[in-house]
Amino acid sequence: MAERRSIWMGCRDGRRCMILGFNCVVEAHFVSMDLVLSLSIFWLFLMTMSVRYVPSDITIEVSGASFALHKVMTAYENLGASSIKKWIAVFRVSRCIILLRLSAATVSPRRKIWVVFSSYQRSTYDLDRRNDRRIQTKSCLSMTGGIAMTKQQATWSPYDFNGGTCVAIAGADYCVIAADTRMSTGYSILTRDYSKICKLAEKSVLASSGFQADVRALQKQLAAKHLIYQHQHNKQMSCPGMAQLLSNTLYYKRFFPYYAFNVLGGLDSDGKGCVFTYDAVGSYERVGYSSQGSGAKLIMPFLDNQLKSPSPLLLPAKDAVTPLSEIEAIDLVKTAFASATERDIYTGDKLEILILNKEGIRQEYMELRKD
Amino acid sequence: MFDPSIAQANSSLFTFTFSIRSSPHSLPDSAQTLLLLMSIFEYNGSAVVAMVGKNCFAIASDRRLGVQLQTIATDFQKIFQIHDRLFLGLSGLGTDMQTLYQRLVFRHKLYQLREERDMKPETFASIVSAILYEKRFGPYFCQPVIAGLGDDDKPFICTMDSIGAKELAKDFVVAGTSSESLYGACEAMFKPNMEPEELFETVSQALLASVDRDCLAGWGGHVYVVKSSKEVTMLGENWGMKEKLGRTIVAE
Repeated sequence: MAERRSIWMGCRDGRRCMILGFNCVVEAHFVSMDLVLSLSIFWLFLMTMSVRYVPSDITIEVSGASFALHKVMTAYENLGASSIKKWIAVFRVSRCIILLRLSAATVSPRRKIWVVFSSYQRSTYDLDRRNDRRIQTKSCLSMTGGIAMTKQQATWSPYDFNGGTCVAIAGADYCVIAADTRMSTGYSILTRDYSKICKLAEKSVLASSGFQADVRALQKQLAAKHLIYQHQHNKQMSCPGMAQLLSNTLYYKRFFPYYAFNVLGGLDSDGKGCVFTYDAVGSYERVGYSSQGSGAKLIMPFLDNQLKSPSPLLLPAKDAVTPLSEIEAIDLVKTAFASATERDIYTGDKLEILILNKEGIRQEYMELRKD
Repeated sequence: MFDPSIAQANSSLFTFTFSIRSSPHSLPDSAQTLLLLMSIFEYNGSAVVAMVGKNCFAIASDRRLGVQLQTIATDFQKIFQIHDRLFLGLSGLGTDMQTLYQRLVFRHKLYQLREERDMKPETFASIVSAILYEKRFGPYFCQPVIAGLGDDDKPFICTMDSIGAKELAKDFVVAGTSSESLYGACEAMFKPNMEPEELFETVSQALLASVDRDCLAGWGGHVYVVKSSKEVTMLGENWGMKEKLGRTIVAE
């Protein structure tokens, strides 16, 4: 690899000018209050260079909005061996960089341009450069991305992560759905008392973690669709039906998803417990138990160990519904959450448990650690 | 814990890369392999856990050695014995595991020659930490788990990150690619003051349940339970994916 030498231009910290030699890579860094000033310095610098030291490879890193980059790219010309043409190309590129600054809506006071140009021939075999055993190369010019902003850039994301964990367990004639009640953002807690569980139908309950605004919007969508269904069919939607509806609703927004990790629990038409687990875009599966959210990775192995009675390798496939009693399942959920709270910062405060059985729906609460 | 290999420079650079090459350097046919950018700690895959019981400790690891997603061996040793009352489990990159073990065994043998006794677990932990910190700016990509019995038969466990930051725990320590799953499973299953047999069951179940949720670790486990009487070391091996526990008791 050729040695790298750095030239700092227009830098308030200091200047170092190195003598260019053949077979070296030079990086010119511009850290300047004014882009135009720095470019003019760059120009003077280039002009003073002897023709002998014409670089064969120039890389200019330009970052920023793609429209600006497009301008840079249109100035690029495929270069031949002629050095004059190379300088022309560099000139054109620099002119575009100036235009970048003028056309940019917001001008950041400090910008850095990295101009890297090397004058050693790039070869497929990096043999001894002194001997002329270089394999014939073509001069290649690559342009890579942007202007490094040293100030903070405004990057806005439509999503946020509010944390939380949800668990559901299906039994022979019951279903337990649980979620913690902490809502956080970053390292802060927004509230200790936010319910992530929503009753969609008489026998379907949805628990979701992720981005609660999207979760709320999703719940509203499903409630609206369920209401229409009730008007049209004069009955409540069954749990497997709601599961399919949820999957379709999520996939409808495949290219701008709901940032919601869902677990749907309920009783199917035979009265048996069912749990459906989803990813963010609607892929779902009926399972005997599931967990989603920030504490899912901590809870899932424990549930596997306690509840995975049939091995998936056995044929015929056995029902994954657990033989545990309702009380035991609730205890299991409480233990799982207590453990997850210890190790996951987004889980805690209070645990809300909903139990569905043939009598109806009942709610239980349990205090969790508040730290 | 601080993971220097993934430390990113704090830059707000937004880069768009566009490359024009007049003579593309074509990949040779042998480069059909899948190129995955995983962390170097996830290259081989591992899971190590140590747990404290009543005057005993257990240390367990999985048995898989892989190259990213391909399994190469299903009987790879990740737990090494330093002396009768001290075990070292290493997770992370396989080659660093073995090199580190060789260096530590060398140091311990010299210690034995000079001091005419075995090293205490606390001392050994300090040595491991120092050796890892020597390579602060070019670290070993390993996370060690140290488990031993102290002078008064008190069990000692500790883990550290790849540059030697010690974490002493009173209940259990975990390391490896399945560490999150292991945290959850161990936290739920751990009870203080377990007898050796119960401890063995707990550690095995926690390990197996956790590695089942991790594609890079698994293929059974090695479990060592060391009792304070120094007379019996229980060695358990779980074969394959079926949770059969074959146990051999080795008396020393």
